[in-house]
Amino acid sequence: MDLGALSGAEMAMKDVGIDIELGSGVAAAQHYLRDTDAEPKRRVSRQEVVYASHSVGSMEGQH
Amino acid sequence: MVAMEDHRSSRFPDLTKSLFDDSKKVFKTETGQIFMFPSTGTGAWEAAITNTLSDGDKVLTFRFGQFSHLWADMMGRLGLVPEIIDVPWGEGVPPELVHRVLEKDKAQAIKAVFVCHNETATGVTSDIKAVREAMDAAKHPALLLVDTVSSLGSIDFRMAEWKVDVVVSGSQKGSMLPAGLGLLGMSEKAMAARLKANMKRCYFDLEDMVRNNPSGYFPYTPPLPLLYGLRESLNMIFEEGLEEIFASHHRLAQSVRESVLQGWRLSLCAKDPKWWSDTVSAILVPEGINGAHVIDVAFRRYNLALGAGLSQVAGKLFRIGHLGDLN
Repeated sequence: MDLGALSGAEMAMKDVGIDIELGSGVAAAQHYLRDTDAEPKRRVSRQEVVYASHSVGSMEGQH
Repeated sequence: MVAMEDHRSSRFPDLTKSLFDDSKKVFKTETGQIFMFPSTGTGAWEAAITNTLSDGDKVLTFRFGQFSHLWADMMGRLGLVPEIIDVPWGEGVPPELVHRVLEKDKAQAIKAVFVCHNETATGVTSDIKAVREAMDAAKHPALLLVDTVSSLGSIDFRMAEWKVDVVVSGSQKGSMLPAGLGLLGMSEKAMAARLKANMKRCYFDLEDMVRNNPSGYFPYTPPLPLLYGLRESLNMIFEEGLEEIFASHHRLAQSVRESVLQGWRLSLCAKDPKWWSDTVSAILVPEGINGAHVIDVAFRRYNLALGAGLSQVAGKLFRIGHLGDLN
């Protein structure tokens, strides 16, 4: 939602002649959000990879 | 078709009593009383004034945006005598000025101090804790009335700890509901002041609520869908945790500020970071551009609702709201 709103605002500003670069605001927000990830970054286990693949219907990685 | 529920039924208090109790956790008070009106925040403004003050009472307030302006306007129209201190739009309430004015008021003629916690029109958050400290330092007994319409449940607010006497709020922001439920938090001091307040009141008279609410009922038809909605909102808030919600709002707000300041190289109406709001950002458009045009194009072409610049800042900015159920 947050990035969607920024994207729409960016397009509207560009449309009315404000001198901004499309994607610049969204990118700045993305960088900040990635750097302040609410979830701890960690390496996932092999078992979790298998489960994730299976849950979207892929047979890859199944034993 | 859904049958209208009987709000006089013996089962109805199961809902309402839990709302009165659990809302206190969001207001952060144990001894305060919460009242709910079928109204917007504007109605709750009126309830706050008429239930605690008397005709001709002198009060102190600060005008630094459209909503603090409207509340000040209401004070005068209802018969109070407001001392209005104009602060540049983009700044918040200066606690040192609160202290200076109250310290000079040796006769203690000022009966109340009104503060808008989060000025929605400019994206400015004032420091209520500092305002309370200024009042205490001046040893002044005035009531402290705070508008938290766009802050309660989204930005840290502590009714009891900051000794706020009357808290005004509404359902359409941090409670994530449609507009229509005015929320009022009253301290014990405010409840005592109520007994001496002589302003005319009827629909917003707390006396009728005081007689009915303890048993779980209302003096007139309550907005049932909003009450059920509030129940669900409170469940969601407690499930996530208030402190986690504040942190999440700060993170999303900061991402918007990064976008404005680092990406677009534009400016916020809130000049100093100490005033930055975690629920709404007001973005100044460059000279020669009408902010209303940005809003209209966003709405018509991209199905995006941005907030308008109001009154003194009309056309000069647009606003992005980042509060409530947002990811």
